[in-house]
Amino acid sequence: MTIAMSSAPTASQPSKPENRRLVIWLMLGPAVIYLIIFSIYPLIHSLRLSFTDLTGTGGSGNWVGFQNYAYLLSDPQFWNAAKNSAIMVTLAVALQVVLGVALAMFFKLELKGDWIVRGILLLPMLMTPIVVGVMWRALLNPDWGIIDWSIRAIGLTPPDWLGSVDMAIITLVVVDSWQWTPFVFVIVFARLQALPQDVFEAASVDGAGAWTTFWNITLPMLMPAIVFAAVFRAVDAFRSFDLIYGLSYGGPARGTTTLAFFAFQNGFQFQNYGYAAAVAYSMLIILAVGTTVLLRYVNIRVAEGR
Amino acid sequence: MRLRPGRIVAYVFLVALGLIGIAPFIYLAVLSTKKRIEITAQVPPTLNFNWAQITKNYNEVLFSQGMLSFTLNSLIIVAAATAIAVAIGVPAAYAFSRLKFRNSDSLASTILSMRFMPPIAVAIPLFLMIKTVGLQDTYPGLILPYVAFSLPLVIWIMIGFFDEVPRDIDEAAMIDGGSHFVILWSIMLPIVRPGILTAALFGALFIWNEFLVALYVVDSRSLQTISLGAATLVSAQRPIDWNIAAAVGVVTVIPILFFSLFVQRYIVRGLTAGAVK
Amino acid sequence: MQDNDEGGSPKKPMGANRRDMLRAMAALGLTTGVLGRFGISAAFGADFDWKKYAGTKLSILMTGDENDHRALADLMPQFESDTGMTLEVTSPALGPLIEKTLQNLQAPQSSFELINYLGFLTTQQVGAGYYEELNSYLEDPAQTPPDWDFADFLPPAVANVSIFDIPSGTLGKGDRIYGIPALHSGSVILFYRKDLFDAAGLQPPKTWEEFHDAAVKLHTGDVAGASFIGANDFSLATVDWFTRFITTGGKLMSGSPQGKDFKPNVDSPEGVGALQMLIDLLPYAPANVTKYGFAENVDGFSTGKIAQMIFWSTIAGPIFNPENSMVAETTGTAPVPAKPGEVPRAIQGGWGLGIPKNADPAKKAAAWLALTWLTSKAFNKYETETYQIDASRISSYNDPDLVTKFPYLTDSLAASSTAEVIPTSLIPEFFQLNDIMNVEFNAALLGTQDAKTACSKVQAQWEDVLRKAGHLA
Repeated sequence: MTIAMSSAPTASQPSKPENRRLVIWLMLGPAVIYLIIFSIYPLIHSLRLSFTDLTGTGGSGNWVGFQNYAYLLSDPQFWNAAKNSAIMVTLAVALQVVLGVALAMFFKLELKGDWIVRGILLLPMLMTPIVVGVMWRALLNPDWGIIDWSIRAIGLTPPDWLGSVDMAIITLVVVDSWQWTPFVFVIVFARLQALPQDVFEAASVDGAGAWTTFWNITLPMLMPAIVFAAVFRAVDAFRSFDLIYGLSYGGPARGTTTLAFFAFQNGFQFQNYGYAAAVAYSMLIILAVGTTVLLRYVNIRVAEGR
Repeated sequence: MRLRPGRIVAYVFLVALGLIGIAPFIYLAVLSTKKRIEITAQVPPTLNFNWAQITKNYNEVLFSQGMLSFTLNSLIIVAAATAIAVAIGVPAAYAFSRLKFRNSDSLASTILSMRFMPPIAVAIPLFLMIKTVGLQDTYPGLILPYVAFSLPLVIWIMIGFFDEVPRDIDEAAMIDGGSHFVILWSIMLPIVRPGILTAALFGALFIWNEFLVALYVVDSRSLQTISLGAATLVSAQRPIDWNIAAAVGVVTVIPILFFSLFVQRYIVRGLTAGAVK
Repeated sequence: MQDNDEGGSPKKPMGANRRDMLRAMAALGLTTGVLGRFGISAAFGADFDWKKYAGTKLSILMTGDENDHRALADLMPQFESDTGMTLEVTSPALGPLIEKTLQNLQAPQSSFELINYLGFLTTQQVGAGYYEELNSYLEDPAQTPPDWDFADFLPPAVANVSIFDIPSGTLGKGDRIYGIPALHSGSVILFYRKDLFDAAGLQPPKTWEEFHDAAVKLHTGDVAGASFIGANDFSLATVDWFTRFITTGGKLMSGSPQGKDFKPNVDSPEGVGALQMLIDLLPYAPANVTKYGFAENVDGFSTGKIAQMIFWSTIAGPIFNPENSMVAETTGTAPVPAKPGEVPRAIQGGWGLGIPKNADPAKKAAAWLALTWLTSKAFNKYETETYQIDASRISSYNDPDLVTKFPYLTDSLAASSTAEVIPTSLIPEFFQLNDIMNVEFNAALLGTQDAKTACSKVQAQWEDVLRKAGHLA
């Protein structure tokens, strides 16, 4: 023991730089190599695809340079999809953050049996998006859905959920929020649990009201978790298409065709692989820029929060 | 906040929240007991249960459509992929947390950004790779890409947990002459165990419902996952069997209901312990 | 036949027995006793050796959108005992099906020995040379059962999915056969409520004016005078618009893709007129008709809320099945309306079944044998009788038992015999063109643009797509 104690520093100190590098390689290597094979390589492959005219049967896969990208910029359907994505992501994330934080504050009351309700509320985010879509189509069916029936039963006119272009995207936001608010809630709630209690006690000693405490103390301290959850939600709302697949299939009149669904439709339904890859890459560029900016913000806030 | 009336209001709200939360599933469950025609003709649906019809609907979903085996497939694939992701991801997270090197932070960010790629951008190339190595239509053919999907998140969450562990603990061990592997295995792992569970659950959450890659890789019915099975429900060019769709909904919700009620406490506890980064 | 059943079962391993039992149990509700009563093997020739590929494992990729896969599941035990082969069924919805099909056709070897393709995709898939030419199998009495009878298939279905002249890229030309009409065919017929029409003293409409007048007359608070596909849905263009368009003298495309002069005529007077007919029906249609796709119309009609509509004849299954329909007894069918002087006709639907050229060569002959089993008269009759899908064989339409039970078959046969291939299905951009049309027409029905604007927008976008794809100079 004594020998080990005295010899360890001297023995490992000089050779440490080499050892260290080897250790880093051994520990990081598998993950990095794995991601290079299964993430980076496919991405490069699609990048190449986006410069070809490959289609399911007709296109030859010839190199066409920036033609797909040029076409994309002049394609009104692309811009329509971009607009829908922007609306959907902004509204969905805003709604989910507000509701998620509110739920977290509520569950901080630690009522008896709240874990059951929490379990129920978390269910939607584990559900298969296509099933969620079909379920909501049933709930919102204009002829026999229970929601429209209930609204009519109290004498009101139900909104045209999935029938009009303007309403359909709102409905999509509502359903997406139903499914994913729990995610924001869990992240924010965990952070809330971990906050030091003394700060709140100090605040109540100072006589601060509940609202002031929330606004000036709790919320800033929750910020890292909120931003983290918001970034995750923004990215996932931006890239998911399966909910739309089940709920509205992009309609009516392309009112719920987001970029992700547009890429899916082109790649999958029309088999325009080259063009779909270009759409996917434009999404990647938007994501890269967006997340870099947002994650930088997270880092700053994390530093401040601690 | 501690006042009695306020507390009562809070409980009322809690119950209301629970009821609103469960209502869509109850509706789904009720629809799943009906004939197709009853769903469109009876509004709101009545609660008289016809056991023959219920048996018929669930038989169709569980056995004829094979939802039971689809669920089993999803469980096997997600469990295997998550286990591999944790095995690869935990040492990597440890290295990012404890063995800072040049550009280690930007490498970590790059890894997280892998989590953000649109599935549509990688599905086809991934499928071609899987096909080339002859793993099309096998469990490994899906497990391999899924590891890549959950790995970034597992690493990212684990970095947070390792960062939480005070440095004195491993520095003391280091002085005792432990190598990094020994420290990771025998000192750090027991400490971050709740974190591993959290990371694994989050890793699993986002591949549980994966659709696109599965669609490409899986051919045979016997290997289909839940999301592939569910996709057959929706087709524009066919009358939708709402009762069957509802039964599929119920069947897919049951395993996650169990998960959600009992395992969520560990997620929250795990996230709380590691704090969210 | 009973001998066959009893003789077959004990040889099967336990696992298969249990699976068969589950299948049978699941099918029980719909097919009580059918397996026993309805002997498929009895119909097969006695000398033909069905078992020569016993032990072969085959895979089929087929549509899961209709009832064909259910019929196949019902009869799978029969298939296994008749042929000694096993057949694994993969039956995704249409989108995934197309994706998976192309993926397999373009691979070095297809995972499926049998692939079911939509008639609209014949040119894309068969025309690209992905399927095995079947003439040599068909002409070989050792390979093809004597009573299989290729001549029994509906000629328009054969022209739509079987025959293709690959050198010139022409559908339905020549004598080379690449697929068999299967598992069902189909076109569009008029569904109407006999009780309501009788009560109002009306005859089923023969012209579009009569159709409109009946809608006006029959429209009440509870029952819509007429319905159609009003949502942004595949069938808005292919069923409701296209039928009205061609039966009022419209011609969708002029020129040909090969001649690079494939020009649409969507903005012709007939095109605008066909859309206007739908707009004019709005006051007499269900309140939510602009949200009505396939499913909603079937739900509406089968709950008695729609007086008449033209629709894919495949919905005869749910409409005439009392289990799923409140109007099974009171629904009548007729050919679609048409302008006087025009033949009542509509789009050619249906499916083909072929053997991919890149399937395992050792299994192709077995695949053909399975194909003949799946397209046999007995199978087709079973499907028609149990699920009321559209038969692909004339013998099923003319089967006396079936016609008595399902009088709609007569109209369905007439429709299937006059059906017209939609010319846009001759190019791979079919779904894209269809999508454009549905979006613009749906917008017109929602009232954001008039019929003329919608048609000119479709015309312009179609020309763009066709130019970009090289079908129009």
